[in-house]
Amino acid sequence: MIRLVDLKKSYAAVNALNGVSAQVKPGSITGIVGPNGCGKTTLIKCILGLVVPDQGQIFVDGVEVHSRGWRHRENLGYMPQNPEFPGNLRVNELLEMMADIRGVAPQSRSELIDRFEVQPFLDRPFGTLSGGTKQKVAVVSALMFNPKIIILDEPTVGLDPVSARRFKDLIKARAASGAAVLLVSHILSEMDQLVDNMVFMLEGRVEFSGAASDLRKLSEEGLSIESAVIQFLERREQALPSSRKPLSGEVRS
Amino acid sequence: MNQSSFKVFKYELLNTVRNRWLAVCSVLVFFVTVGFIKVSGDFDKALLSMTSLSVVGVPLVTVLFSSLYWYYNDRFTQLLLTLPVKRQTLYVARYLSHVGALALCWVGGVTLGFLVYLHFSAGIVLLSVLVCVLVCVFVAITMAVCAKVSDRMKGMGLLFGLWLYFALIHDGLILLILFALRDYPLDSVSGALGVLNPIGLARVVSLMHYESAMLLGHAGALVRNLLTSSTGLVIALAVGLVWVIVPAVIGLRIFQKKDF
Repeated sequence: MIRLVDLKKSYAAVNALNGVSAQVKPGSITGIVGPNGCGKTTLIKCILGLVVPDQGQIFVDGVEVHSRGWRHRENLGYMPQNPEFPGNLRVNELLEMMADIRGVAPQSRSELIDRFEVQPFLDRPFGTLSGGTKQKVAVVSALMFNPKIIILDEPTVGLDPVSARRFKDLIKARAASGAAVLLVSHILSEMDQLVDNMVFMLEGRVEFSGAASDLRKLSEEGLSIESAVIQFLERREQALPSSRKPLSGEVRS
Repeated sequence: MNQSSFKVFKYELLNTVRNRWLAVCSVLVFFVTVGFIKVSGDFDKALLSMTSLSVVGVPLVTVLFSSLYWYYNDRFTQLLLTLPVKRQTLYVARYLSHVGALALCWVGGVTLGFLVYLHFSAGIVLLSVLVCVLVCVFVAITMAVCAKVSDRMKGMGLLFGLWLYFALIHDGLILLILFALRDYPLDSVSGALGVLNPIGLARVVSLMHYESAMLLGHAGALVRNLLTSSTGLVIALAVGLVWVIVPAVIGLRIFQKKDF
């Protein structure tokens, strides 16, 4: 499980994270949504160790992650929005590199290669692959170790519909088998299909944190995350420049 | 190098040596070497020409290649840092892979050029050592600058400026100081100023071998006297080592604290 406590991070005059607290439970998929620049990427980079927070604590499986800590990444699989590996290495070599560096044998490499039809590209240099195929290679490399924590940043961008569907099924299956999944996406319809819990961020703060069904109820129709988020943003825009109004009925961090 | 560093080093080196620009550079160095031998008809003269080209060319190729690699592989660096790898491990592995690939590229091109004519001499060994030292120094400087400056254009501009300073401007400044203060005895001061430039230092050490240091760079001529003594050689080695260690340590510290 990942637990974030009062995370703060600023770049020059910009407060990217302004006291964020949230948690990602095992066996569930937690989605992070919010407009551009709300701090989503900074938040996942803090968990990954790419950004050192100015203040606050990060706990992974109950153990606090320190700014230079790296052990917690042994059980973590990360898939970035635009995966980039060295262009001169072949796909086979890249997957071997991942296994070599982690020091463990991949448990589901063959299964994922078959599922995403990566076999014909194994001997091709990564730099010669199309965007979608690069994304598939990234899926295999991130998930072939069956990580307990999965962090996904816009994972289906670039995937064809069939692969995207297979990917979503895979993520659901991994969550069902106990993995804690954190998903960042702008595709709210995708969130609707996948997530159990939601974190809605705005200007570096958590505006909503709780069950996805509770967020859906905030829309007039009470049907989708997409309409709840859009209606909230519209209401907030109308209320400006008056002070920020928290949503009623939700857990505010 | 620990086991993790070696694993990352292995793949970084594999990726680097497969870089086509490095292969083009190696072939170019080979043909330039063969060209010098053919034009001069004298192995020593050809080696002298290659030495004077190398002390300026190696730092330029090193800063260009190493910085381009760094900036173009930024997202891969981030991906590697999401694996169970210490930042220090990645930094050391990348440093060693760049040093290995660049030194191999240049030394390989020069050596093969002479081996085509079945010629090998102590001068080639000396040149190879100097190339390795220059590569070590300038990869360390390049990685430190790239770790600090995230903007590609600013970083590369700064590195090109540094290369220009070490290759040309430093000597000019010393000459200017000596000219302005020509009434004072400044030999030892100018000698000390000379060793502050790694390119000038390499130039002098190499060309002492050919008794022609006086012809190549004012700082070179000034430092020559200092380096002819054994104390001077120890100083030269120590300064070379400082030029490797200081930027490498600074770069590592910046990298360990860097936000991606």
